[in-house]
Amino acid sequence: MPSRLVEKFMTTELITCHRGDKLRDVAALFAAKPIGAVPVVKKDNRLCGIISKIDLLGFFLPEYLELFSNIDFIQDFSTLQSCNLDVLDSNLLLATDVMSYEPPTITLDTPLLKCAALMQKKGVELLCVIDEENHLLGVISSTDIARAFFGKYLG
Amino acid sequence: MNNFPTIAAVVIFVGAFALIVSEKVHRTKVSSLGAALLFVLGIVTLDQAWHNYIDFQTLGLLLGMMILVNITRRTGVFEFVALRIARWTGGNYTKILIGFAVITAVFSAFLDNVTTVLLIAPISLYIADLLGQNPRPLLMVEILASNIGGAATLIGDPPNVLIGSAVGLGFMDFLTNLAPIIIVILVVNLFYARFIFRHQLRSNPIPVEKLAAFEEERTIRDKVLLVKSGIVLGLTLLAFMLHDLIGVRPATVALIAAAVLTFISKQDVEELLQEVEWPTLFFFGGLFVLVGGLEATGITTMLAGLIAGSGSSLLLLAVVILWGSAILSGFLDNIPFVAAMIPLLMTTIAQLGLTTAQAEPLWWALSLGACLGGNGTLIGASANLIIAGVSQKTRDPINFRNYFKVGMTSMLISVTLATGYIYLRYFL
Repeated sequence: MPSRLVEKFMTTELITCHRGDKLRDVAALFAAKPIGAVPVVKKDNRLCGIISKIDLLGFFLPEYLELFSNIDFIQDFSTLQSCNLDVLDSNLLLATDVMSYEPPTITLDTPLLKCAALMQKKGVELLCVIDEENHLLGVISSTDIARAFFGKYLG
Repeated sequence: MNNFPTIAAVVIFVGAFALIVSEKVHRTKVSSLGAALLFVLGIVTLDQAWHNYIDFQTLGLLLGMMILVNITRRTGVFEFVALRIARWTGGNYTKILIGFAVITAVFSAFLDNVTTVLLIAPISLYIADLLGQNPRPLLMVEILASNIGGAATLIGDPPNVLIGSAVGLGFMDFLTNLAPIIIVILVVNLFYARFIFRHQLRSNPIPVEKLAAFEEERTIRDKVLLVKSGIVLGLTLLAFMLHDLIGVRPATVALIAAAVLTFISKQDVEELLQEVEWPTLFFFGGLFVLVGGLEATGITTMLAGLIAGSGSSLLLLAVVILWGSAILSGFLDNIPFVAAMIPLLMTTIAQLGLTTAQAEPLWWALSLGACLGGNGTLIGASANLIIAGVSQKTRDPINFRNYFKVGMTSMLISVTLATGYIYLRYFL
């Protein structure tokens, strides 16, 4: 069996944003579509970062939580002063405030199993497909990969 | 005395000390390279290092305690205690400040200070967040309490481990000589903290429902392990206390306890040993060789001769040691300082012809100065820097300046109290 490549399974109808976009508009993208992350691109479509849904949700939570190895004891997060659900209402927060730089990337000829390995290794749900000049060509999600490998079990 | 080895040993020691203080290179790399240079130049042989200079009692006690604490930490019991105390205070921020200072001091007396603050600081941020209070006073008081509490016991702070094992002072010696004044110093510091933070501590009433937001029972991850480590730690402390009776040295006790708890805890031994702070142990190893270089070339004897010949009284010597080590430890790592001071003091004591009992106040002065001095500035102790790092996650972080005002005053108060104590208890 020829190895399955990214090219066949990736999504090319891209949902992206720019660094200067308001964070609330980026948040709206996640509300509209079941996507795991939104790539951040420059005007010429070169990839510069990514905003994941989990990172955006983390915006509501206190920063110090990462110091705990176990948060089972906290029952009610809403009582915390630093949990502010309206934080994204502000027009001042931009995509650049939360995006992570240097997201894991792949190319058109990357085999799908390698994509799966990368996702597992880096703990991400979405990989950006780029060309040699860092232009964003598409994205491949864990759902795309699952479809490629598990599709045969569909009734 | 041949000149070259002497000069080389001094240059290597001073160079290494300066490099450690600058924090440009990790202290373990510096002390290892320094030791290596002494070996290469033949100033210290590996045999000498192994048999005369490297203090395996210190290394054994530190290693044993690290393993015991690492296993116990996995039970979540320390977080449980902190949260339970927060509940008892009913959300009153002043009471929380006092309660957290006391547990920080008590934990620091039995665990190492860095481990203590790594456990307490995140809980403090959570509690302050829950109550809508600025966590900075709480974090600052925890710095003070960790350095004060660490001075109370043999195992509380590395300088005490060094002194105890070199001089042969046991757990009860430290407890009976240092704990009384440490309790006084802690109480006075709490009054001081309540005064300087009086504006931040103005309590707005906290709705009791807020304390329902957490369930401290859920921090306990492993009840069986909790019972096992509780029993082993209890027996370890008992053996430390009975040291004079059973004649087993603290390092032996700690290593036996670590072996037993590792065996019965069902924890993964590879993981446990990876969590041991090997860099710290290797730092000590190299440091012992560096200090050994000074001894081997006769520098220590020469300096001791100067001190012994100065004609100072024992009281003056104790006061100078106390204040000198406090001020130096305020700015420098107190471990290399104390490691260098120990052979110097021992030689001085021998030259003055003092008995062990007569010389004891000098060791308490060194311990109190080195430990309490850590409160002077933000760079005075590793625990200070850990808390400062944690506070970067808050809106009002701790920095060198805002800490200096609080810490230096606290240190001056503490060392003044210690001076009075040493005079009243040993010289009156």
